[in-house]
Amino acid sequence: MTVTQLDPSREERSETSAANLTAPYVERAPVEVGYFARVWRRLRRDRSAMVGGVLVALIVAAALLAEILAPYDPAEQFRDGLTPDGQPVPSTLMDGRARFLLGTDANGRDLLSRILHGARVSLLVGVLANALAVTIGTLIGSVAGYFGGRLETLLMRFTEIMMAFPTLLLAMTLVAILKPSVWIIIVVIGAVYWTWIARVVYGQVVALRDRDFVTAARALGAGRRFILFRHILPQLVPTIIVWGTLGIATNVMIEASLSYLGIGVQPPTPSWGGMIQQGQSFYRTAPWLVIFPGLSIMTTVFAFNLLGDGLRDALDPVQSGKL
Amino acid sequence: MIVAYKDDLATLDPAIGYDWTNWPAEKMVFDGLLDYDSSTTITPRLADSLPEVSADATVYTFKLRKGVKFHNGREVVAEDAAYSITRVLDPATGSPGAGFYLGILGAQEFVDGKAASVEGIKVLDPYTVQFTLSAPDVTFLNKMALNFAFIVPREEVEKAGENFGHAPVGTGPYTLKEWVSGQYLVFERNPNYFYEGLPYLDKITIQVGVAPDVALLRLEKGEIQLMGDPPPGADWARIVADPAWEDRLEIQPQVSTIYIAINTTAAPFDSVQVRQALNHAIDKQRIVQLLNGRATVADQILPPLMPGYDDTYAGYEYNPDKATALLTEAGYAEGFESSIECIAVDPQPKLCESFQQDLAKIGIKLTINTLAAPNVIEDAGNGKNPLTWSGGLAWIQDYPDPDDFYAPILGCDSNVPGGWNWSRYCNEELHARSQELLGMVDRQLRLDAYKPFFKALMDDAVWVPVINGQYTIAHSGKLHGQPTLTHPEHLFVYETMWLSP
Repeated sequence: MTVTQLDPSREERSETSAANLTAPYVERAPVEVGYFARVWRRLRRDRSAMVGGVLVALIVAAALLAEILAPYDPAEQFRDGLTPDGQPVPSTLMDGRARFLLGTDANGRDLLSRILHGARVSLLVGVLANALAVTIGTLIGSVAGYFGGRLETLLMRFTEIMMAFPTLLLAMTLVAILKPSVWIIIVVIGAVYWTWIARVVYGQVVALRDRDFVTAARALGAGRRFILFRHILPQLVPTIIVWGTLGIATNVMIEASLSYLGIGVQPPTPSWGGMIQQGQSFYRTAPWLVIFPGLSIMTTVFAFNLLGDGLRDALDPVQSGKL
Repeated sequence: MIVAYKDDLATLDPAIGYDWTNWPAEKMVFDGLLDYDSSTTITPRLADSLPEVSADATVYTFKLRKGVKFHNGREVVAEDAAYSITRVLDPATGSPGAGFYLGILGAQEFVDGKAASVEGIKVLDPYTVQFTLSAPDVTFLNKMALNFAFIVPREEVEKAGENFGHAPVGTGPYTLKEWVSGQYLVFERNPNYFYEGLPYLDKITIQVGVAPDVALLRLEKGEIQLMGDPPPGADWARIVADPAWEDRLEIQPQVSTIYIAINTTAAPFDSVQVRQALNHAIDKQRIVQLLNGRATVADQILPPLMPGYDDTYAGYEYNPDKATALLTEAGYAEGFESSIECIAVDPQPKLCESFQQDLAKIGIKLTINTLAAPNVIEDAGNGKNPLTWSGGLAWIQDYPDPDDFYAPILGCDSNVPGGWNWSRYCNEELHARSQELLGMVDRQLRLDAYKPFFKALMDDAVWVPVINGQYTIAHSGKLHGQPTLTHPEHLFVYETMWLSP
C-alpha cells in the first residue's frame, strides 16, 4: 500500500522502517523473522488484500457448508415456488416471510440454495482446474527453462501454439467432444489454462539457472533433478501461490462462461453460469434470476483477484515496486 | 408488414418443409388442389370443385380450375398435379411426406424402383387428374390438402434442382423476391393471383434471427407487426395482465400432443411396467404451470380437439408411489440411469429439468442432453435416445383424423431409421387394425373404433403424453385479418391479413 519509496536493495531495513511508519506505537517485531511471517505482516497491512481474503474465506465457507446453510435441496421444485401463472417468486422477505430469501428461479427452485450449492461447483472447478493448470504449467515451464536446448524449443513452442488458441473456444471444442461433466470441465480448463503459468515459470527458471547458488550446487556435485526440485522450484513458490490464487478467478469465469453456453456443468447440479443462462430471458420481469448469480460470480472473481494481487505484492515486494 | 422469427426457415419447398414455421410461408408461394376453410372443412383451391369419389372410396377425380398461372406465366395443367405428387413419392426428393401417398395404387412399386411411374396417378385430360388407391382411405382428401400436395411447376424444379426450396415458383398469392439466409425473406404480392382481390398486403418481410424477447420489444415499439414465435414465457404474465395487449394477443388451442417418446426397444424401457411407471411419475400439472398456463394436461395420445378423442378415458394419474411400485415390480427397485434429449430452445430445457426432478423421485437418474432441433430429430429418428421430449418438435396434427396420430408416429411404416416413430414401436396387430380403420366409410363408427385402438397404445405406454399445446400469437394492434381459429396446420394466413393506419 502507501509506503514511502525506499531503496529496494535494502529490503530488510526498509521493512522495519515501513512498519514504524504505519504503526509507530506497536511493539516492534523481532528483527529476525521468517519469510512467511514477513509476508503475512505485509499482507495484513494491505487492506484490499484483506478484504479479498475475508471474502474468499466467506465463499469457501459457503461452499463447504452449503449442505447446512442452504435452506432447501437446490433441485427441489416447489409448488409455491412459482406464481399461479408460472412466474418466479421474488424474495419473500418483502412480505416478511423467510420462505424464499432470494426468491425462486424459473423452475420454482430456491435461488439461495442454488447459489450456495453453485459456490461449491464454482470453487471446486476453480481450485482443482487451477491446481491442474499450475502443475502442468510449472512442470513444463521449469523443465524447459532449466534443461534448455531442443527440449526448451519443443516445449515452449508447443506452449505458444496452445496460447494462440482462444481459451474459451478451445475449451468449448474439447467439452463438445468429451460430454460435459464437472470432472471433464476441470480437466479441460486445466488443459487450456496452463500455458500462462508455463511462460511465467519458464522466465523465472531461465533467470535462476545461472545464479550463483545454482552454480554452487552444481559445483558440489548435485544432480540436475536435485537442483531443479530442491534449489530452483522452492524459489518459484511465491509465483505459484500468486498464480494459484489469481488463476482461480479466471477459471471461475471460464466455468461460468461454459455453463452459460450450456456446455458446462449439467443440470440438476446448479452452477452460477448456468443459472444466468436459464434466467436471462427473465431480465425484465424477474431480474433477480440473473442479478444474484451474477453478483456471486463478480464477488468471487473480485475476491480472488484482490487476494492474488495482495499476495503478489506481499511475496515479492521488490518486483512489484511497492517498497 | 414485418414478421420476426428466431430461426431461419429451413426451406420453402413444399415437398420438404414439415413444420409450423415453414408451412405458412410455403402457403404464400404455393397452392394445392384442396384447402381448408377457417374451420376444418375441406374446400377446393386449384381444383375447380371437390373431386368426384367412387363409391368404394378408392378413385378420386379432380377437375382443375382453368386459367391459373404459375409465377413464371405458364398455365397450371393436370400434368403438374400428377408430377407434384409423384415428386413427393420419388425417393430422390427425400420428402418426409412420402408416407402419406403410399396408399396410391402402384406407389410402393414406384418407390421401390420397380415402376417408372405411379400406376394410380392418371392424367385424363389437361384439366383432369385421377388418383386411384390400392385400398379405401377416408383421409385421402385430407392428405391432398397437405402442403406436400402443393402444385409445383416441373420445369422450375428441374431448373433450380436442390435450390428449389430457396427459389420457389408456385401459383400462390405471393412471390419470393429475396432470401438472405439468416437475415430476412421478402415476399411480394402476386398481381395475377387467381383469387380476385387477394392478397391484401403488398409486401411481407420475414426477419429471422430475432430472439423472442427482442421481437417482443420490437413489436412494442412498432418495428414489427407480428411475432412468428410465441411470446417468451418470462414476459407472458406481464402482457396478459396488461389491458393494452388485450386485442393484440391471440390464444388458440393447438391440435397437438406434446409427449415424451419412450424408446420401447431400449432396456429398461422395453418393460411395459417401466414405461407405465414413467407415466405415473411425471407431474404434468407442473409443466402446464411452467408454461404459464399456456397448455393443458394431456391424458391420452389424441388431443381433445381431434375427432376420436375419448373423453371417458382418464389416462395415468400423477402418483409417484404407484410409479415406484411398478418399477419394483419390473425389478428396478433401486432405479437406474438414463437420458433424455430435448431441444435447446426455451422453455424446453426448463421442462426437461422438471422431468429430471420428477424421475429422481422414483430413483431414475436422468441426464439431459439439449441439442439443436435437427440433431434431436436425427437422434430420435435413429433410435439413439432412450427418451425424447417432443416439445418444440411434435406432434401437431397434419389433418383432422385420428390416423394422423398413429401412422406417421407410432405405426409400423414409420418405424424406420429417420422416421418419426421415436418410440421405435411396431405392433403388428394394431397395424393391421389401422389398415381396416382407414377403409371404414361410416365416420361415427370409425371414430368410435379408434377409442379402444388408442387405449391399447396407452396401455402399452409407448409415450408419456404430457400436454396439449396452445398457440399464442402476439401482433400489432394495427394488424387484422388473421382468422381466430384457422385450420391449425396453417398458423398464419398471410393472404387475408391487412394493416390499419
